[in-house]
Amino acid sequence: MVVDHRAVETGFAFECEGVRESFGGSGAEGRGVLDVSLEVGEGEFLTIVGGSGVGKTTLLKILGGLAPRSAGRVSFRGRPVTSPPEGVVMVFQDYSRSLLPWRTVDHNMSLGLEGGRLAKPERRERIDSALGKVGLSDSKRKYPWQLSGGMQQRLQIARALAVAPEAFLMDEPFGSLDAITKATLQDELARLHGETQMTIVFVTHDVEEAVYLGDRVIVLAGKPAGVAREFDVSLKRPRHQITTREQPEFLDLRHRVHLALGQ
Amino acid sequence: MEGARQASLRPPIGPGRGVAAVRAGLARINLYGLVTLLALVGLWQLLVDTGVVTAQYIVAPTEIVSAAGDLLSTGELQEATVHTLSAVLIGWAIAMVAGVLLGCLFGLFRAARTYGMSTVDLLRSLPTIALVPPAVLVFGFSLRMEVAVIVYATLWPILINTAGGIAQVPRELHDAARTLRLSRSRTAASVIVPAALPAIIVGARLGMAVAVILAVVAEMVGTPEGLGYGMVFAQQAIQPADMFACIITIGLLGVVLNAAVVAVSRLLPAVAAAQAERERR
Ligand SMILES: Nc1ncnc2c1ncn2[C@@H]1O[C@H](COP(=O)(O)OP(=O)(O)OP(=O)(O)O)[C@@H](O)[C@H]1O
Ligand SMILES: [Mg+2]
Repeated sequence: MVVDHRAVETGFAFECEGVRESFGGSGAEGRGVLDVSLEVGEGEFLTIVGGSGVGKTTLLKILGGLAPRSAGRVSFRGRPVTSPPEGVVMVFQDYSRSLLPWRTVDHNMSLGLEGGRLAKPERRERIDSALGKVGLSDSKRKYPWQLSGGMQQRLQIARALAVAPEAFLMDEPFGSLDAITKATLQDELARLHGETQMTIVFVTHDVEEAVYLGDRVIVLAGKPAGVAREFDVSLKRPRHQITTREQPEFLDLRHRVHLALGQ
Repeated sequence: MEGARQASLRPPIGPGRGVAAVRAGLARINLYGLVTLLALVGLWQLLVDTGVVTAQYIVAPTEIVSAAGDLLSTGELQEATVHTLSAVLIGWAIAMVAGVLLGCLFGLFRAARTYGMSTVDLLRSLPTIALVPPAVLVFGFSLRMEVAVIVYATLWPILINTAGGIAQVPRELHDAARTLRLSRSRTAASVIVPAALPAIIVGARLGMAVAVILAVVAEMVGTPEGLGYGMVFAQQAIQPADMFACIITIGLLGVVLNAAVVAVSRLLPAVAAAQAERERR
């Protein structure tokens, strides 16, 4: 892996203290959109739920170095985040706009590896292994628009995996998929997390999804939005779409997260 | 299932793409539209033959065809067409290179927009046709004058569409490139400019239409060669059939050049993909 392990001191992947975003507003409206402090542990699967427009995407982009912040400190593995850190990749909700329609699956995969230091065979191997992990090995020569929505999102995940990340930032990645595809991808992601020990910060507005996937669920609410509640999820892994969702702990958490959201 | 649906989709890239593009182009010719066109020409002929239209200089299609035949047999029509075509192609090619480069500059760099866009807006709003007389003074009655006028007029639609196409590239593509840590130059070359290609092609087509118009105007008032000159010459010699033969040749030239730009642009993967995506919807 490419990330400098000397920087790991705190055991946290992301640390975020007093992070504010007010989009240039000042005075009354300058209270801002976001005022968040949180930590994400190494290898943790953290899910964040919040209502529409509360600032989930903004927070994720700040963590990923894709958006500036008005104030506060963000670090990844002890290093301040000013631009996208090595080892952190964001996966976007709108997969169709995030892929290159003029490139085949295979060529979309190589986007993150171009200009890198990897030798050709190693690059090939990375791409093949990432495509294998999401079950797209047979579609290498297709174009994104020839794939179903679920397959396109798998491709975006595989493209991110190919750069061998230490952390995934996922912004409602399954938000526009049908229920069956969504369930399949949830289980694939959970399995991937188990295999790679990656840190995952997963934003969703689906409470059940947050509880089903997370080691911990954070509820983002308020104006400016902050961490309103936190819930540890001790449901055993691997989780199961039917049985896990029937367990009393699942139902109880689901109930409490909904309450925290004020629904 | 999925596979079956995709099997019928022809990939836009791969061997035989050129042949496929030509076949697709032919398949796109609208026969019903052609019928209407022929009917209108027939009506025109009928109106002249039956004497409903008696204006002295409105000639029947058959007369135009025979005039065109005469002009072809003396080689005049070919010579004029070759002249106009070369002026258009040379001017358009120069404008494409300059317009795409400047458009990329404006699209990619905010500073270039801040300092340069007002100049562009001012220059492109000057009526280009009014620049033909001064261009004649500077370059004389020459092909160079014609090309200079064409380049000037054609540059703007290409530049504006290129810069606009780059500005329209979705936020998500920028973010995807950044989160994958692509360098700025690689992002521009591998993501932004390819994504803007369909818009650049729109500019290229508009530019081609403008180039044909300006070539004709420059030949009407300046260069004593080409279809524009032939048209004015025939008018002054009171040869309406010759004049209409030139006009129709100019029209055909425009149609063919537009079709050529469309056909060639389909060879670009980014344009083919955008087209395929649109057809799928
Ligand atoms: N560039 C911007 N300039 C000004 N305001 C912005 C900007 N981006 C987002 N906002 C505002 O910040 C708030 C949070 O936006 P954000 O996209 O982070 O919400 P979200 O929780 O991701 O919403 P959704 O569930 O709809 O995806 C919104 O009220 C939005 O209007
Ligand atoms: Mg959002």
